[in-house]
Amino acid sequence: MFTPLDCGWGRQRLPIFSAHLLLGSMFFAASVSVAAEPLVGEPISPLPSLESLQLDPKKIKLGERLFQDTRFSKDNSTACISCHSLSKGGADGRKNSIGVRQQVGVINAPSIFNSGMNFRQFWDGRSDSLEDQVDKVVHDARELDMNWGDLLTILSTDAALVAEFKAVYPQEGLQATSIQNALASYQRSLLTPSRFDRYLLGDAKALEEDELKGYQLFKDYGCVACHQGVNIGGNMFQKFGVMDDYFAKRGGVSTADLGRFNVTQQEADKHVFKVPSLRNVALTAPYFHDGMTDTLDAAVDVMFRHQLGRTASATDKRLIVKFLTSLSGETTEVKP
Amino acid sequence: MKRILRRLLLVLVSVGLIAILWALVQKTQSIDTTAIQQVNSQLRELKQVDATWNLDILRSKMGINKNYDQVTTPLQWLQKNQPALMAAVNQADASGIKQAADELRAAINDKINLVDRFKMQNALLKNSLRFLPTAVGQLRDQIVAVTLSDASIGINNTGQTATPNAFSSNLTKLEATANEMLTELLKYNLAPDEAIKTRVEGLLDNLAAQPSTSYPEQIQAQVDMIVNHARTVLKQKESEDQVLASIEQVPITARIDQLAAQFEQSFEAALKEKEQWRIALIAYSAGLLLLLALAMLAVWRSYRSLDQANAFLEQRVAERTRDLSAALANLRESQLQLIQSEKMASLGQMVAGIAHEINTPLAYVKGGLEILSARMEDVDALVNETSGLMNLMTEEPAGDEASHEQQLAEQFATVQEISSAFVETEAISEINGLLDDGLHGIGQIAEIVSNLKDFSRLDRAKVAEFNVNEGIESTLKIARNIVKHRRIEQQLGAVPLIMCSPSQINQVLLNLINNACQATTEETGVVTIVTRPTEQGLAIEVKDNGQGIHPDHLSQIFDPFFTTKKVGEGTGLGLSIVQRIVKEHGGKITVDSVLGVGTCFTVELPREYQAHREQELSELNQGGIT
Repeated sequence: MFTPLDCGWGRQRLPIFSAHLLLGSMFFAASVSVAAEPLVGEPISPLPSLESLQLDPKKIKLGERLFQDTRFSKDNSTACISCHSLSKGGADGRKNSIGVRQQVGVINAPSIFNSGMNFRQFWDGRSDSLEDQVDKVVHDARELDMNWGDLLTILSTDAALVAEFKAVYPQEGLQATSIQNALASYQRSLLTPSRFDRYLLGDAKALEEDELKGYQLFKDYGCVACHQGVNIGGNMFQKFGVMDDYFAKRGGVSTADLGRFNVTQQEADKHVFKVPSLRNVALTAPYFHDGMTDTLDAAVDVMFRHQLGRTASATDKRLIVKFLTSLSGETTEVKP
Repeated sequence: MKRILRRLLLVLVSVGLIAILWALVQKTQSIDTTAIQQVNSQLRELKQVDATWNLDILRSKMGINKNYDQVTTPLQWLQKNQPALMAAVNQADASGIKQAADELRAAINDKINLVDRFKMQNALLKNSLRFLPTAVGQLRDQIVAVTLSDASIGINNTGQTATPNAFSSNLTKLEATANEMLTELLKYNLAPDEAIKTRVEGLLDNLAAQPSTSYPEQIQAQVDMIVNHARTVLKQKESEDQVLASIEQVPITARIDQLAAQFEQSFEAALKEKEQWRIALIAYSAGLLLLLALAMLAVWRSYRSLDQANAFLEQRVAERTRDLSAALANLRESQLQLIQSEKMASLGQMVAGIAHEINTPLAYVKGGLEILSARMEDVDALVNETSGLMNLMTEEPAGDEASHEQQLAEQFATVQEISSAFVETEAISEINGLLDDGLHGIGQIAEIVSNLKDFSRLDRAKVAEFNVNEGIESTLKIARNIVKHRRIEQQLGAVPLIMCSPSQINQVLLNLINNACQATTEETGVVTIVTRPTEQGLAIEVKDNGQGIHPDHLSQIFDPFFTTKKVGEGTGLGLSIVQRIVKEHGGKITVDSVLGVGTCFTVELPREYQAHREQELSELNQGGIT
């Protein structure tokens, strides 16, 4: 068996993302592209540069402020950042998150990082935009338990914030829609380019040999069938336990376990979840929607058994896990 | 108030009319074709997106697309473009559009769900398809390994129920079945066919069937895995094909066309409506113009009536002016009549005085003549007796001488008696005296008449050179009846002759002297008349030592009809006329009066008579003493 890899480095090197650091990441892609030709025909694509998203820095900044604002919760206890800590891989490291009034959530908090690259939001994909996701989190009784009327009443007493909104959103000012957009803009800016992205962009030395082997195995075993695309997942749904029933084995099926069924009410959507992005996966334990799996190794095991319906050698799994650690975001030097 | 309300109403109506016009203009504003163009371009784009989507789905199916990012891009497009499209739909007030949009949205959602399903199936299918050859290969390897080891073991291990040959033949069969199944499955994957599927299912059943002698555990697990994956392929392939067929059937293009047609229809309807509004606008404008024309006509009419009213007014003014002129003329006439009556009053007074003056000499002329007439009997007798004597003396006595002598003596005595009576009574001197008196009286009367003539100057031109001092003399004579009981002091200076209307100036003098006399008493009254030359001509002062004029009355004394005399004694016009005459002569009259001391009227007259006053003067004279 292999010991958990040096996952620690990722956490240490994970940037405390802020607007000015993000600017650094915008230059990241450019600096690499000079080095070599990007790889073609790979099922995974590198993250786009932040620049190419053409986001408004002022909206990002405003969203960043709101992201940390506890006034968004009914009891002034919880902010977005409470469950999506930038220092914890964009999640909170908990099995289930703690929301307003210390309530325990029903599902594992997904990472906020690269969430703009997901085709839908939430495990069950009930939001098709980050804006809508903000709306749902604000209203969720276990998460923030707020409503726009109260929130706007509270925030409108903050003259500085109102003025800033008026400046950034001249037509709307401080409104539910502008708050949603600011938060969504901030989230879209939270991209975490990794060494693997550098590899995809042509930097052959960006990955260690084992990681490269792991990537090959990742593709060979078929992990990549679902974890593909720019976000290494996050662009499709899949049934959890397709080759072997996960829930029968685990037991205690909750409503949250029904996944997409809760949205569509279709039998075929039972236990169907959004395939999560594997970016920063090494930093976002515990795993799966139920947070029942504590380590990446165990998570890989679960996947082999229930999704791939195959077995793999411990070495192969170790290499795959090694590859997965290369997906953690890294920073480059901040350019002035 | 009513007028304000009317104006307010007018303003409101005007505003209303303009508002209607504005609304109509708004209604006929050219339709914003950019909106429909935008919608059309969006729908065209959506069609393109859908076509690309289909292509990407196929690419994913065929493994050309290495990931599903391409298949999710339509979601991003929708996220970006749906709000604008929905806004256009909501703005278009047409149920057809809304329905078509709803149907399109439903179709898109169907397709999204189907694509999501496709991705799920495709991923699984791909993995299983990809894994199965490997798995079958692994099975082969395992079988080879087991067969080899079993062969070596089998010699030693005779307790085995099956012969090594049978065991190995089972495994060989298993391998063959697995291989066949894989071939058929791959065939089925390439060309799904029920017959192949049945065959694959049969083979899978064979594989899954528990053999008479159980496989080694590892091989059984591998077989299970292969069956599992093969069944997954069958299931997912079938579902994928169904999903793809369903995706193909999602009528997105038709729905887009339907929505576009609805938009087109509503656009055309809007155009048509706009055309109707345009016609309405034209009609309304025409109506407004008509109204405007009517209003202008009304204005023009009112102006015209105003003009007429003006003309009428002018006419009225002219009439009034005429009336006023007539009234003025009447007034003047009555004024003249008043003046005339005052003159007549003065004249009456004068006539009374003159009659009195004439009466006295007339009385004693008459008395003298009566005495003379009585004396004439004596003269007549004397003449007759003397004549008889003469006859006696000269005629031959016809008889008796004595008698004749006698007669002669007698006659002589008679004549002597009468003659001595004459001498004794100084009859002749008395007669002479009477005649003298008579002549004197007549002389007096003649003088009065002459004075009257002088006073009124009836024999002179209306305006003539006049000696005021003479005027005063004649006036005093005329007014003798009035002035005879007052002491008249004359201090007449060397005044120049002036050009004036003598009769009027005399009237002035008479009036002033008359007033002065009336203001004084008989015993103590002194009236002083002064004349003196001035720079322009002369000044006449008529002073009295009467009771004076009360200061309250001083300002009124020249007013017509103002009098302090008893009713019937004065008309109140005297001084008014005096002032008028003086003013018309270009002169002025002033009065000084001290209560209890006396009054002094001063008349100043210019030497030259102002020609322009001639007319007024003549008017004045029309009612004058003529």
